[in-house]
Order: sequence, then structure tokens, then C-alpha cells
Amino acid sequence: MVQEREAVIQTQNLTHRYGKVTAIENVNLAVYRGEIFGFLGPNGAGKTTTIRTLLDFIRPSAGSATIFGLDTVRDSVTIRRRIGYLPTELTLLDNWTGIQYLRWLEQVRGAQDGYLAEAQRLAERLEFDLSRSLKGLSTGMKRKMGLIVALAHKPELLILDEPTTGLDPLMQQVFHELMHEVRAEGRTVFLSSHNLPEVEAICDRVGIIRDGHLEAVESVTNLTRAAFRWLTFTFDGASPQDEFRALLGVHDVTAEGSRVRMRLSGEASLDAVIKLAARYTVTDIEIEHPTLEEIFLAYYGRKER
Amino acid sequence: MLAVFRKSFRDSRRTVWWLSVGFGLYLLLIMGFYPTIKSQAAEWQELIDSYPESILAMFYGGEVAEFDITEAGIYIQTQFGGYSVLILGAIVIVQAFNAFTNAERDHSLDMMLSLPVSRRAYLFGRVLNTALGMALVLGAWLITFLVSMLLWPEFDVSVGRLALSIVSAFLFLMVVAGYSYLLAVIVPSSRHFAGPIAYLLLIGSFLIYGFSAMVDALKPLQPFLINHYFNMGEVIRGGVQFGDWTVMISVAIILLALAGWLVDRKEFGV
Repeated sequence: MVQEREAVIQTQNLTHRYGKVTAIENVNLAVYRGEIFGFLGPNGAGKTTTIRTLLDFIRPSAGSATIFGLDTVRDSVTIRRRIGYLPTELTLLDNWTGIQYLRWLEQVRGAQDGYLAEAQRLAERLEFDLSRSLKGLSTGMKRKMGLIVALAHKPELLILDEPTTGLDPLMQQVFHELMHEVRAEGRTVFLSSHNLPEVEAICDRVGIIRDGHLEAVESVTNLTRAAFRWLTFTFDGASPQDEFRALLGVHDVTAEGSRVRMRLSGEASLDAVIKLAARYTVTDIEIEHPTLEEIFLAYYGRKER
Repeated sequence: MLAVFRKSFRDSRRTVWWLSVGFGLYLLLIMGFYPTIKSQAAEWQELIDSYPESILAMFYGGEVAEFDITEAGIYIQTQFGGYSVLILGAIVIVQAFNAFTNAERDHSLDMMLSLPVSRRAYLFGRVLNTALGMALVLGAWLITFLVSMLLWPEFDVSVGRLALSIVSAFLFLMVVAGYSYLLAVIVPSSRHFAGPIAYLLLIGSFLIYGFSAMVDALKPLQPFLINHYFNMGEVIRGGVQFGDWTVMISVAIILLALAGWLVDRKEFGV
């Protein structure tokens, strides 16, 4: 399955300290070819530090990282030839037009057939006029240009830091389509985002980082199934609310008329819950898996306690 | 490196153009006075002789006993060259700090270093831009001097020596570039110290060198001050000062090589 594929990004005990402050510590992460990997965490958790270390803007204080099997420090220029990057804070060269900027990038990256044609295709998809000056662009327009720059050379790996910030919902949809196309071509995406519905919609796996430590790496499917689920029974007549509360792993039991809703955590026995409910007259059952956002909030809520 | 240079040069070409035009016009104004000064040599010399030696030393930087303002070399050094290189030096410092500290602060360095460009190529692309930009402005100086020679035949100097005196100014600016880029690389990002230190070195060297002509206690410092090795007037009068050039070339190369070594070890700001 996913784990058997070639690791495009691999970190071994990656650590970075800013003086006495440890930004990330012992991060062990593998991102595989052809997947979209979401990197989640609150502000200051270490997402951007990890990305900057991978790009060799800053150096590991300990541990190491490889991309395409190449060392991120020693082979950084070779690696960067094969990746596309979109930073959170995007500064474009604003005395140029979009096309002038792309022509310059084409030279920096080495002449590639179809580079400008691909940029033009992306610009049309993202509804961006490449002949306009890059001066005074809105956040969303800058983001579009940033995406064109990151994608135009068809990189094997995309590293995107908050890629859809400032994009309107229609453009976010276009971005999702582009990411699916990238994955379909066997290319890899590593993205950090605060937009959890988006991560849930496009990512195959996510890594959750907290206080510089990688707390979990899991497929979105497993994460949303394994963490907890909501269960709602509709009874005809009496309902065993208090008995549900007494069961292991059953939390947040609430009743509204004939409906009883509860949250089942991982240690709960679904079989025990169903058997208890079956002693009464059940007219309907609904099982909801949580959204990634709920999991994320529950994850951090649990850790904070 | 050439791609970085192209981008930097494109960004700074207006600055270079206006500096060239501005200095050209200013130099024409200065040179326009030269025939008058030359024709009233005796009166000017009387006026100059009435000045305290310390003031003359401050603005000439050479032996005060030789001070004759109607002599073309001394006129150029005192009325133009001596402080014009300070103005260009300030531009060099701005370019060095734009390349690192400011680029980190406005995040443009992120985009640049995410491209297949090594840190060293980035540094030397920017240095090349500074060098070419300054060479173009100094080229405008030379052209203006040549125009001045046509307009005012009283300004009669060897074109070769004039050109060499401008090369001297270029080397002076490359030393400033050397320590400015080095400081930009050494000083941790997002701090504001490096710029003021570079300006202090530039202006401080000028002032201390000037004072050292009057204060004996400061004389031992002279070999450590950049102004000791730069005097357009002396080149115009006596030809190339090979010792001075050797020192300036060596120092510039050493400082830039050190910057090139350290940039690979720099932590770029978040």
C-alpha cells in the first residue's frame, strides 16, 4: 500500500533550535511518491520550520532529511530544481509583469520545452492575466501567481505552505482539481494548511505536529474512522440514556425528544451499545464519522488537558 | 549567478541611471567653476591660506603643504571625489542589506532560494550587480569629465590618469561592498545592527582619517582606514598608486571570499 512506495521526503530525528528555543524535535516523517500529504498544526507548532529546513533555508540542529534520496543540505540546489514551492508570505518581483517573471524563471530553471505554455494553461485555469503587472496584486491574485510559479515547471514534488489563503471558493475548487491532476500524474504534494475541510478533501495522509513534535501520521480515512464517531438512536418510547452513559467509551450523551446522541471513543464497544439499544424499540440509527476538523480539535483539546 | 545578477540589475537599473544623471549634472556644475578658480588662482590661494590647516587636511586627505586648489587633481578630490564616493558607498551598503536583511524581512529571499540557485551564486550575483552598477555610475563620471575637458579647456589633465583615478574610486567602493556584504551575511537576520555598523565604518573612516591629519595620536590608525588608500587627486597628479590598489583589491577579495564562505553557513530568518 502507501507505505511500500518510494519515500520522496524522509526525515530522521530532524531537529531545529533557534538559540535555546526548540522549534522542531526528532521529527521522523516519510512522504511517499504520488500522495498528497497534509501537514497540520496550530500556529507556532513547527510546520513552517520543518518546510524551511527541508528547503535548506535553515539547517538542522540535529538529525537529517532527504528529498528524492538526496541530502537536503548537501544537494539542496539539485533538489530545488525538482520541486515547486509556494510560501505563506509571498513576495513577487513587483516591477515585472507575470510573463516577464516567468521568462526569467524559465532561464533560472534551465530552458524547458513547454514551460511557458504550461504557465499559460495554468493562468487560464486560475483566471490570471499574465500580461498584467505584479505590482499591487491582492492576496488572492498573488496566490494565483504563486501557484503558477510553483506548478509551471511540472515539479516532481510540490511544497505548499497555506496554498489557498486568499483564494475564493471557486479558485479553491480549481486548486483541488489541480492537486488531483498532480497526484494522478504520480507527482507528490506536501502541503500545510489550516483549512481542514480542504485537507480532508484532497489529502491522502496527514501529519499532525504539536510543539515541534510530530504527534501522529495517519491516512485521512483511518484518522476519521479510528478517532471517534457519533451515534444517534431514535427510540419509540423510553430510551436508556443513563445506561449508555455507564458504558465504557461512551461520552457526551444528549437526548432531544426521542433522539439520543452520543460520542463513541476508540475504547467503546459498538456491540455493547447496539445490544443495549436493542432492549428498547429503535426506529432509526445514524452513525457519523467525525470531520478532520473535529478530530484535530479533539486531538488538541485532549492534549491540552 | 547570472540569473540573479539579471534580476538584481533590472531592479536597480533606474537607481543606476538616475545616479549617473545626477552625478553627471553635479559634476558639470563643479567643473563649470574650475575656469574661474583657475583664472583667479592668486585670490583663491590667499583665501585657502587663510583657512586652518586642519580644515584643508580634512577635505584633502593628503599633505597640506601641497594644497593648491587650482591644481586639477586637488580640485577634483576636494570638491567632488572625496565625498562623492561616500554617497556611492552608502548606495553600496543599501544594496548589500537589500540582498539579505531586507530580502529576508519582506520574504523575497524565500522565493529566490526556493529556486535552483546556490546561496553563493545568489551572493555573487548581487555583488556583481553592485560592481556593474557602480562601474556604470563611475563611467558616467568619466564621460562627464571628458565633456568638461571639451567645454572648459582650462581643465587639462591626462585622460589616462583621470580614468585610473576613477578605477581607484571603483576599488574603494568594492572594499565598501566587501565589508557590507560580509556584515549582511554575518549579522543575524531581522536585526538592524549591520546597516549602521557599515555606515559607521564608511563615515567613521572618512572622519578619523581627516582628524588623523591634525591629531598625531590618530596617525597610527591611518593604515587601517580605507581612505588612506584612496585619493583621486594623487592618481591624477602622480599616476597609479600600486600599493594602494594592491591593498584595496586584496581587502575586497578577502572580504567577499569570507562572505562567500559564511553565506553557506547562514541561518536565514523565518
